Amino acid sequence: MLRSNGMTRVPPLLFALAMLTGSVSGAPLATVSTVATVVSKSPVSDGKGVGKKTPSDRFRSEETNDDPSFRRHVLPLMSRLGCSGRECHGSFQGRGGFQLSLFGYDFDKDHTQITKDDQGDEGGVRVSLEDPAQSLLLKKGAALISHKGKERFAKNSWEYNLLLKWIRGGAKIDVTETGEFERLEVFPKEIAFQKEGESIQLKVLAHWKDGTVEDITEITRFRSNDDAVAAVSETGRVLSKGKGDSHVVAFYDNGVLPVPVMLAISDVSKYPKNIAAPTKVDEWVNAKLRKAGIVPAGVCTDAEFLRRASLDVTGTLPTPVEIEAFLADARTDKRRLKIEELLGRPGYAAWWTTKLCDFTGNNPVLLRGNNLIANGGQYNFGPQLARQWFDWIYARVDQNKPYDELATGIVLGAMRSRPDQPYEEYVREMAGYFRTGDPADFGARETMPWFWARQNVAKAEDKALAFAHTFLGVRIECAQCHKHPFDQWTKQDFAQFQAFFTTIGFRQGEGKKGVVAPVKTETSGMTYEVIREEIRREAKEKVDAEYLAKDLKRAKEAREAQLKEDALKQAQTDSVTVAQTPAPQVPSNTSPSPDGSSLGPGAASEAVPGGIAPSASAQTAAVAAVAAEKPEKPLEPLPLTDGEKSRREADLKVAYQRATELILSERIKKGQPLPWADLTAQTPQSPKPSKNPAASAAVSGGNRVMTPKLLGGEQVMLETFADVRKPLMEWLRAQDNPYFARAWVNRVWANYFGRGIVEPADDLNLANAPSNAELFDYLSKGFASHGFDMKWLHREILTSDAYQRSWKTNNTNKLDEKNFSHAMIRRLPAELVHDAIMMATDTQERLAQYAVNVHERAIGAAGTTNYIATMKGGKGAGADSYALNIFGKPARQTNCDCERVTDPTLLQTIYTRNDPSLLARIDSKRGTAWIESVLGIVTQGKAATPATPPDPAKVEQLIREIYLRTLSRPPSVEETAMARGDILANPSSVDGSRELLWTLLNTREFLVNH
Amino acid sequence: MKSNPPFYCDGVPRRDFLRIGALTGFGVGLTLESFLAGKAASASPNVAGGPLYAGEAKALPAKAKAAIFIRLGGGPSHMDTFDLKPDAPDTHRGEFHPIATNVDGIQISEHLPKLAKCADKYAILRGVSHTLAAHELGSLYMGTGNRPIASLSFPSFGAVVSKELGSERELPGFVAVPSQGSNSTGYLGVEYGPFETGASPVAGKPMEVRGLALRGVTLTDVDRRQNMVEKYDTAFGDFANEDKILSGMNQFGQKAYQMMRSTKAREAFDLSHEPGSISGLFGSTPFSQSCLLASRLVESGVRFVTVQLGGWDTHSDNFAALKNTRLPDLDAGLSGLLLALEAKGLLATTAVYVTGEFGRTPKINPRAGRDHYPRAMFCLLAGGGIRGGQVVGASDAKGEGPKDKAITPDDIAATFYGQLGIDVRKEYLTPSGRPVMIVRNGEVIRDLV
Repeated sequence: MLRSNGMTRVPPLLFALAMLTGSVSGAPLATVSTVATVVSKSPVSDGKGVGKKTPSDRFRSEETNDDPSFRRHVLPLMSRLGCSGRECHGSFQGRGGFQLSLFGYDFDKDHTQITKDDQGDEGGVRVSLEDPAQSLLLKKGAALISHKGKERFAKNSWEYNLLLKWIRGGAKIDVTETGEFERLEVFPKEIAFQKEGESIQLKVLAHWKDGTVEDITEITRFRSNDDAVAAVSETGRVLSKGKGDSHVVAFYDNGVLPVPVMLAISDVSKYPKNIAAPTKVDEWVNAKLRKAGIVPAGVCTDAEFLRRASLDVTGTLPTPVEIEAFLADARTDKRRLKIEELLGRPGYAAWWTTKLCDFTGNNPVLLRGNNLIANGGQYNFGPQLARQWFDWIYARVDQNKPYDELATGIVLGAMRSRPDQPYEEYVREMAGYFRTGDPADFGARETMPWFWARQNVAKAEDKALAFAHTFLGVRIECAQCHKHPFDQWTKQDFAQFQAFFTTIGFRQGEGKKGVVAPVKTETSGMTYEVIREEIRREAKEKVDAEYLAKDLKRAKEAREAQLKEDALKQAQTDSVTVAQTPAPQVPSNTSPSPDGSSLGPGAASEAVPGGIAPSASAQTAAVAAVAAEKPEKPLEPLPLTDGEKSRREADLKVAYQRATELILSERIKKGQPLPWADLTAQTPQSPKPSKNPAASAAVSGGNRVMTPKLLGGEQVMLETFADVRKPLMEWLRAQDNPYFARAWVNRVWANYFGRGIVEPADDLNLANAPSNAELFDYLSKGFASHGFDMKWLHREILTSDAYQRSWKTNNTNKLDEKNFSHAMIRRLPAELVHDAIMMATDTQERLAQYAVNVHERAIGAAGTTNYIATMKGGKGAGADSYALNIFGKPARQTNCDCERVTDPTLLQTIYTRNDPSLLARIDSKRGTAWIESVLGIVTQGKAATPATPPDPAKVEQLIREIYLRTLSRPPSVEETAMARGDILANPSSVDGSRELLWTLLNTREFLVNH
Repeated sequence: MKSNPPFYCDGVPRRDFLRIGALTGFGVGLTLESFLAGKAASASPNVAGGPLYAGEAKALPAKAKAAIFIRLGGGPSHMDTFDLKPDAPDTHRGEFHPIATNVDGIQISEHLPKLAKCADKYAILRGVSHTLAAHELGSLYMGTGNRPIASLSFPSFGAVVSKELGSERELPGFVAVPSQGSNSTGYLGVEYGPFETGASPVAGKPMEVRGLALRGVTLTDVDRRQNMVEKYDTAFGDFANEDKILSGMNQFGQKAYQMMRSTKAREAFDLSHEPGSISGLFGSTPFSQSCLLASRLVESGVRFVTVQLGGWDTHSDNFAALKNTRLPDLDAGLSGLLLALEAKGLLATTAVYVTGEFGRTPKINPRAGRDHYPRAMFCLLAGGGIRGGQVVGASDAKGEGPKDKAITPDDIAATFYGQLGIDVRKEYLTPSGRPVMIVRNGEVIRDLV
């Protein structure tokens, strides 16, 4: 509500951007020479804010005529005093019956709690207008009576007086009167300490839209981002604690402002002058390093570069042949050429598609697709949808389509390939993507709608969170319940942003409520209802026929049983008769008489000695006789008892569903039309945006529909848009969007350096300042202005010395983790470990295929469709899933890049040491393991047994091959000598090679990128 | 001057975000600290990435040193097991009759005769209630004590216990027999995951545990290979000791080596070492043998064992399935476990928690089955200081819901953790920096402890 109205004067977009880049109001960052010179306990050195009265000046005496403001003074003071903290009254349960909004931004609620709620455990009122000094707020705060939170201020202190004056003035809320908060200004703008133990006082000015500027240092909250570098007291004094650089952050009202603070690592006056900066990236990285007194590491070796870049860019180890060729290449620009080559490989497209599937949340388990099709029931579309999702992104990365186009295709994902596509054409097109044989290329579609089809984004709020995480790199879940602790987002902001997502959904059936407009262009009779009915009828007919057959069989059996019984009775009667009749009188060879009243001859003759019990043949004859007596009536199902009826009903329900699913799956396989749902996102009913912020705020309280508002942007009058996602997308891909380009740049950077310029890479918030604002700015603006060309960004980074630095550190940079002064050791991501092990152990012939045939690899589509579902020990979990899970492949279930884990663990070590699947992989006997060819190499085809002593030159060839396969470098002379001894100490060169291969797979050098 | 005193109630000193995750954060830092300290990560200092204590949280006196979690996958019927309603109408009652137990006034199903003879060893919780009727969600709730939410994945009991109680040098802290199923390590990260045995043990035979079993490899081979790795893994020189990733990997290498060559670790999985007086308490089914293995693992020093017994999803022919297979299997395995733990002197220090993901509909369906029903279910708790021989909570006359106050999965989790000395109000920082209590809404059930 606070931002929405003042848009025209100071666009929060720009403001937010300024905050993100660390420069305030467009003012450039102070250079080292203009930064405040810091002297211990020095007074504020910047004159700009001097003369503004501070709260302690204004309220030193309770006799002052100054009137404190609820919004500008009372709440910020209570926040700084800790009252609204998470462990105090800001807790969701409150404390002692007194509950304040966490991080204090719910003015109405807090005012009510402070002034009106007398239901608290204390039994008194917190504010007494009759006798202000008796207010609990004061007595508790000053610990004049028992207060679990102890004394927060002394009686008659300025804090006490400020609150007292406010109560005396009627304890009024003044949110409308104060108008909107504009920005914070902090002096100094940057702090460069000279030595440990120095300190400096910050001064914080609040600028309000009405022109008021006030020194609010004393009622600002401060936080240090790294208290090993600098500590900050509650009064805003910053103390140098150690070498390094970080930020201290000031929080007041809706403002969050980080101030860079630094103590150089080494004497900057002695900093070397000859550090090359061949690229723009290097210029910015080096500028920061120079400022911080950090001398960067040298450039890495060619072998290190090739391994590092191959893994980072293509997710694939270089082959031995490639390594030898690269090392032998004498061209001076061979690294640049190699980067270009790597960016053109399928491995690049596969690995970055995998990363994009992480960021967008492509998870087959959450894509069952029950909402996509009528009566879909338990039919599981997951693997197919996940594969299509992968293929669609892959096609774009492969063709280097602009990133904003890619995002557009996901955000505006549609089921019909054009809005007026007739239903029949639409379902026939869909059928093509799902048929078993030769499916149509989903990647060729303009959009990919499955982002919105996941089960975990069914609700609007979850769609909003997923969108923000994926495309903005922003975590706004905090603002669902309270003001974001480190950012400007309020509950109101979240609710208004969420309004964009309320109508996005899959809808089954045309003309149903919620569908934009039924398509008028239908030319055939094939509509949703028709197909659905067809399948329903087919299923019903099939099941009904089955049950009828069952029932008839049962009726027949019953009739036969009845006949048997009747015949039995008859036979008993007859046999009694027969027994009484002299046997010879019965003709011995006559057929049963037509009227069936007499028995057959056999029966009669057998019956004679048998006495009363009728024989089997007598029964048969009797059945025939009875049957003949009553002419065959058509069989009819027997009537069901009540119990049977209800059971039948339940059985039928299940049977219909199963039959439907069977028909669906057959239709899918055959590529026949199905009753597909539509994806729509029509304009929600929304009120006219109000000019009055208070009225706008009131909207959040009731059940009225929110006016959609872009995050940190403007309110959107949705009436003017047919698809609610379109204005969202326009805002997203605009050149000046504060997040879109940054989120991608930061994630790409994090892939190459092990950490983002903002870290965590998906947590862009105001308090989480970039470690190098200028670098971040350069790449983000460049990425956007180069038409969101992803390869431009990759090249900018990869060709820099910053990317190509060695891990070998010096005294100035060995502790540096965030200024990119040396290569960081990174454990390989799960898919890369898996594929690298496969590759290092594979046959010579198949090695080159790894870079080309990517889809069955863990970085390919298989990594998404085959493994994610089974990673956590689900059904069908195999060795690959197990390995990917323990090495931290993300399950893609939550909105966090942190799902991918690259920390080492014990289970990983046990896996590489002794897992049966890994040992079997080294020793595969199916012609897929390199070890099987060792004997051939050492003997070169000559008849030999494993015991034949190998040619020493061949042993060296083996050693070199094993090193190149695993560590991607030739062995040193010492290593060769050592390995020769170890191989020859084994019973055979095969055993020796296996031992060496196993050993190198277990070195850290193999398992990390370095 | 005093710098930045811990002034605010919520003024937890936060280290630079930039350091979290990178190195001193969740994974390596803590684990290394715990390695160096030779004990659990709970002793870590109060920094971001490490555990944080809420205002009033404090270490609780632990009665249990280990725990066994038995998951009855599919959701067993409460009405036919531990919460019979002989006076309910035909439509609800079911076919089974209650029988008396060795505790006056407690009756359970006639098909659980062995458990009836040791009812003093466990507590029956009736009227346990929640609202999630899907297998996955119900399992997540029951297996973590936190109602699942979309934005965060909560850690399973085993993961939290691994983190809090650590493990012995040569043994895994957390073993799942045969697998862990859907409960993951959640926001705690993969390093607190279980050793999954992959298969169920077979009576009298040693168990092959993935990665620990030495198939065709001798201890000499293990030693030689360790030696080889140390010899060849030298590329980073002294830097390997300074870099936390590299030094962490080295620590794990040492521990893996110790475990692989440890007789203790191998024998912990070898049921042939169990005396007849113990193994005779169990049946020969995979579940019974898994229970025997669980008791043996706990005896060896493993902190947490998960055992699975599935097949409870009885939408049709509930009574035949229960009578013929499920109940006899549960009866033999669970009674064996409780008696074996007691015979080994471990019952008092081993908390056992038995639960499905929900109960089943009190009303019998037309196919003689019962469907998913989270509103009323039962759980069992035993050992580790839990007062056995009692029923806590109650369902209403027809078993359709709690009679009075419902017992929540959160409360049971708080009780279970509490017995292990873990205060559920303790907060972890998730990798995204959000503070989350171990169990957010649970209170210890006083009648049980």
